[in-house]
Amino acid sequence: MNNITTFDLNAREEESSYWLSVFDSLPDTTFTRSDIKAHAFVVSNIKAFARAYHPIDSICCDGVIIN
Amino acid sequence: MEKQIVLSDEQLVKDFIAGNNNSIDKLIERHQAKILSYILMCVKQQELAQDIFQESFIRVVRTLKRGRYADNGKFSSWVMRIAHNLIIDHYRKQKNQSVISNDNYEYDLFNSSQFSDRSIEDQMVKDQVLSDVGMLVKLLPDNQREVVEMRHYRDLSFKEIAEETNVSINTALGRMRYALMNLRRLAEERNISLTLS
Repeated sequence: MNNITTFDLNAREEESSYWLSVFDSLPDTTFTRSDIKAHAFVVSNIKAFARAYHPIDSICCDGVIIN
Repeated sequence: MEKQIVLSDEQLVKDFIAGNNNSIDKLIERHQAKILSYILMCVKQQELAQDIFQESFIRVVRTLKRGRYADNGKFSSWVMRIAHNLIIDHYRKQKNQSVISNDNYEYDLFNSSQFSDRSIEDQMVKDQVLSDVGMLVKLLPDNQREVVEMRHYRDLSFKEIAEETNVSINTALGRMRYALMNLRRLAEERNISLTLS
């Protein structure tokens, strides 16, 4: 009963690996004139994150340890 | 006219790590077509591809800012590898979600004996009850027994029973009512349970 709607996605994983090797072999300049672009809000989200993100170990802390 | 210097990916990465946030903007603009094309080629859904693209660059930013980026190849290959891992994660999550299971629910509405085939025990109980009813019906007065048999064993309507026994419908109904009352009393007197599960 559990397996009736489970569809095999292994082929998709293999396909992704195939495309990775294809794209990896293409020079970056191939896409210079491409019209494919991420949504503007996606790009702005990433830019905002890049400006706001500070890893915890980079933040100086002279605080007192509270037991 | 001033000549614009094109910085390499490696230089932009170094600048970003050093705190120049504009460098990541240039890296996104430079590589978005390739990265997004790869993701789209795999998942074939625009919105999903956008989500994976965003998550990929979020991871890029985190890794760079934590100082964990090892510059050992093309920047775009590294980002595509991150995107690839996210695509595989998505597929595996999808694979797990497509399994139908009621295990996570506290109460399974359909996991009831009412929806299952009758067990041998159920069938035996039913046979016993029918046998007891048949025995009790035989103990009824003739006119009442006749109505019960016509209604439940021959499936006649009360109009047909009335016609066949030459009585009115109300009389046939009254006899049935008395028959049922007597059957209940007889069952109680003999401690017979007529309940079906």
